[in-house]
Amino acid sequence: MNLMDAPSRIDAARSLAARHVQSDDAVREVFLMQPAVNNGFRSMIVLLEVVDGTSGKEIFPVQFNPDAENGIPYTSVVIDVSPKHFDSLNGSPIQYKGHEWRIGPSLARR
Amino acid sequence: MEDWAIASSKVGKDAEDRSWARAFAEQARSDLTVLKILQSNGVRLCHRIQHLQMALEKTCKAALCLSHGHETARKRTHAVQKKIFKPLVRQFSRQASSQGKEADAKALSNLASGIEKLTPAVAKKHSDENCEYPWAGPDNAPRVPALSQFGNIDETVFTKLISLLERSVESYKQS
Repeated sequence: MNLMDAPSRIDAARSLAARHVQSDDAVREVFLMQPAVNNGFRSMIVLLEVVDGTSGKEIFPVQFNPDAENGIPYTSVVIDVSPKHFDSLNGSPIQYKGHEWRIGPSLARR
Repeated sequence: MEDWAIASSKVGKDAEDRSWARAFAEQARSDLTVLKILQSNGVRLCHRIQHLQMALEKTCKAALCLSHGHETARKRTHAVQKKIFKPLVRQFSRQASSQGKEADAKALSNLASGIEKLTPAVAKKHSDENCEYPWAGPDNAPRVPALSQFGNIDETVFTKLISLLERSVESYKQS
């Protein structure tokens, strides 16, 4: 993919969130996580996914490499939480890679 | 071939973790190659399950190295495999009709969970049925993995899981 043709981070995040909702009926809603301060991770897509059947309250991010061929030229990270865990977060930030991340806008929902 | 040892010695922790992610992805790739040879030769199911399980574990280890570092990957595998696998399915699923995709995600997760339970170490906590060593059936008579049908394994999903792992592995090889 030509750099000039690369989608913006938010467009890529929306596309990825939509794909995740479409691919798994257990995904209720996907939120974009945003760094609380400019911590050098602004080129990364971090998604918080509210998923039925997720157990426990451990924040367990799973990281993926950029996938320019499929329209995601950014490193992406997925964090699954159960609906109950999401409610208990009550919008509070989470820690990842030693930094604070806030729950941002909803990108896709079932 | 890239020299992982050199790559990991000259830079920091993140690069070292990436080199381990690549290493696990490379080995998973090799497991999948062997598995496909076994598939095409009609080898008994227990051996194919074993290689699929090995490829699955190493793919999850690659994801774990990249996400949480090699040290974490050394200590945790089976407990976190499920936590890794579900996002992996979403990330590497092919675009298709929503109905087809949903069925795939569930079926793939069930198969992954099923083959993990057939790992000897994990099987001890369940029914002892496993893909490697003979075990005692309910009547106490020995059961042979090579002769078992493994009724909880859906063979029709096998090929889909292999394809998904291949896409995952190719991605983690770029770490």
